[in-house]
Amino acid sequence: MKKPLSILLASTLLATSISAMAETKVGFVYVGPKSDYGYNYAQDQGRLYLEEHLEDVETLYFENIPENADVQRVMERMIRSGVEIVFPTSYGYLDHALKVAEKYPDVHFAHSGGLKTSDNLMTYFAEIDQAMYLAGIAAGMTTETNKLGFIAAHPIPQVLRNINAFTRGARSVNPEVTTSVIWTSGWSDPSKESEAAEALIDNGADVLTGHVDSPINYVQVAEERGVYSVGYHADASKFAPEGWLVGAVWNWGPMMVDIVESVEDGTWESQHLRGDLLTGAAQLSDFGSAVSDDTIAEVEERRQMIMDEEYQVWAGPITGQDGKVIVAEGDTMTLQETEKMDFLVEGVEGRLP
Amino acid sequence: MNQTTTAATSPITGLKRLLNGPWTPAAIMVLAFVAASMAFFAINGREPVGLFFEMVRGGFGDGYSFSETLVKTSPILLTALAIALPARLGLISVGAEGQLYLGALFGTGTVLLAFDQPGWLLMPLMLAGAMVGGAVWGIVPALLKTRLGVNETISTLLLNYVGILMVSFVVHGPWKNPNSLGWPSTVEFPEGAILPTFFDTRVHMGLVFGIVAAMILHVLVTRSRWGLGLQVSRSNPRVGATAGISYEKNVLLVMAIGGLLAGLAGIAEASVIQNRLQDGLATGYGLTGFLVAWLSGQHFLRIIPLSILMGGLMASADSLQLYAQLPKASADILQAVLFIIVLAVGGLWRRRTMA
Repeated sequence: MKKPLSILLASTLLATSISAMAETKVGFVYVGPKSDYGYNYAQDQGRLYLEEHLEDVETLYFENIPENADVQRVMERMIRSGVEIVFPTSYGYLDHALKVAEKYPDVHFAHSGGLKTSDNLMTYFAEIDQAMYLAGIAAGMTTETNKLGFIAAHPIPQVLRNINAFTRGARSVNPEVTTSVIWTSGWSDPSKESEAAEALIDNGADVLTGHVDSPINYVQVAEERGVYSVGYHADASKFAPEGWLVGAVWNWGPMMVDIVESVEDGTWESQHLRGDLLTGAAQLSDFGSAVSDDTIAEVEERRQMIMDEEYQVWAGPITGQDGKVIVAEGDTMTLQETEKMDFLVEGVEGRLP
Repeated sequence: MNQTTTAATSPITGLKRLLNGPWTPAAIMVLAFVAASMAFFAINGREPVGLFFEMVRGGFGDGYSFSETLVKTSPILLTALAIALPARLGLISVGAEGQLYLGALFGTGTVLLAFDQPGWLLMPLMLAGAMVGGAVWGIVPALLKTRLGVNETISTLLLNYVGILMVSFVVHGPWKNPNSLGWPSTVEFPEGAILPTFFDTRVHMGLVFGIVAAMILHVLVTRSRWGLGLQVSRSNPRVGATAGISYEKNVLLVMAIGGLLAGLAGIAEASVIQNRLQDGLATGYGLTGFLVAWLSGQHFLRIIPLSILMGGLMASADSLQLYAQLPKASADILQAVLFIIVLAVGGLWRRRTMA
């Protein structure tokens, strides 16, 4: 009995001495594994960046927490163990985070995306559809069949923005291109994603991309079948050395540092914080060897135009699937409008579920 | 079996008596489980003793932890009853998960239909809807069994998937909240359709339903004519029939009652825990309830503490991630370990005492 007791004592002592050194405890909740080479991996890279760049910060994380009310308990546990800033990183956590935020008014919450805030809950996200638009250009210039395939999880605005941006990018260089969409109804369902990838290729698509938590499944299927792939969330080029074109990837670290520092120095405010290509929170990955020099030059030129704000992805004219004009020439969608997007653009095949 | 009762004065025989007592297998099970979990932690390279205590604290250590344990207890308790009652008639149902989903489906449907009604009307309607939904998912396999001789284990297993997919269909389709920006879930329940909770925690009426139902079932099955009839029918339906006990009717009855209890668990999760119907409403409660029912030996009162224990195990899995970064699946592994230990120790003990 003596030994377990002393271990227990030692571990409590150690725990208290660590918490005495660290001033701010930051907790992260992930919907999938942090090793998914995708969405959760990218968020976790942000967490590691935070630990590296802020000495007085200690982080902890929970993986594989479903988007149901279980996440409330997980967040409460974190807060009860001393966490002062919570990063609920998945779309479906928002309503649950708002509930917990109301119960713990002294804790700050930074939720990934969404359009709701409260006194102590802000959202952060980045306009990664800019990078998806550029990746679409690379896809549109590379495809030989003029058919692109998109594997999508849920028809939420963020996903629709990526499908539409990718398609508009491709059609800006190759008006013949169409994008077929298959919905998987889940952020992570490897077998469904692989089946969808096979089906899209069978249907003639020769560039695959998607918006599910991990790009690995469709990138690997594309590589096996000898077609091209465009990644999403994180650089997965090592899974497709032959067919990798480029990817739209996150870089959360600096944004997370800003958020945590704003809490520490008292300047935190409840807001919708958004990054983009210019701030570097959304980026284009390196190009793969399959991309031609002409394509790279075109993409780089358009990237510069977006960075210089000479071109905006959501500037009209934007035509819907049915051919009707949704945004007239001369108009540009506002941030609020894009984050409520509920349509597919001309050139996308497949319906909203 | 125990012939030493007369010589209780000698300390050695006293010890023997204690060892042969009813608590010995339970104590062995607990010790074996503690040892196995610690071994599991050690194999994963974690400090076993401290982590085990963290886990216990995560389930039962303070008021908040215990309240979250009780939140998990409610659906486990109700689904365990939904399995144990048919088992009293010799039926092996595994359908509590599907019945839970059907209860949530019908209950939510009622809420959507009677959305603007006041709480005093809406709440009973919702609960009635949920009970009907769950009962239907019990009656279908019961009819398949009595009319067509379809094995109830297989039909309830398959109906689980149907139930889960039906919920998935409505939340992705006809019942999707038009203002949820594409997110698959129904609208939030109105205030009047949220079951009451206790003491500023998430512990809700579902727990009370479960405990009351367990007590009523215990009395009915052990004390009433009907309960005796179940026993007779279980051992020999033909003998039962000559005594005027209809096996077919009882199959329908136990499956329907079991289903309505699981249905209550489903609507409680949707109403008070999630505040809406959505996918992944209660992944796995039905299966855990099945384990609890069989661990209890279909004893309704024993189901109550066992459900609390299992709820604690599910809720305390957080601490494994929080303090040791062990994945969430660790709780499932420990649950399986517990189940195997209980079965193995129980089996060995029976063999030993029979020998």
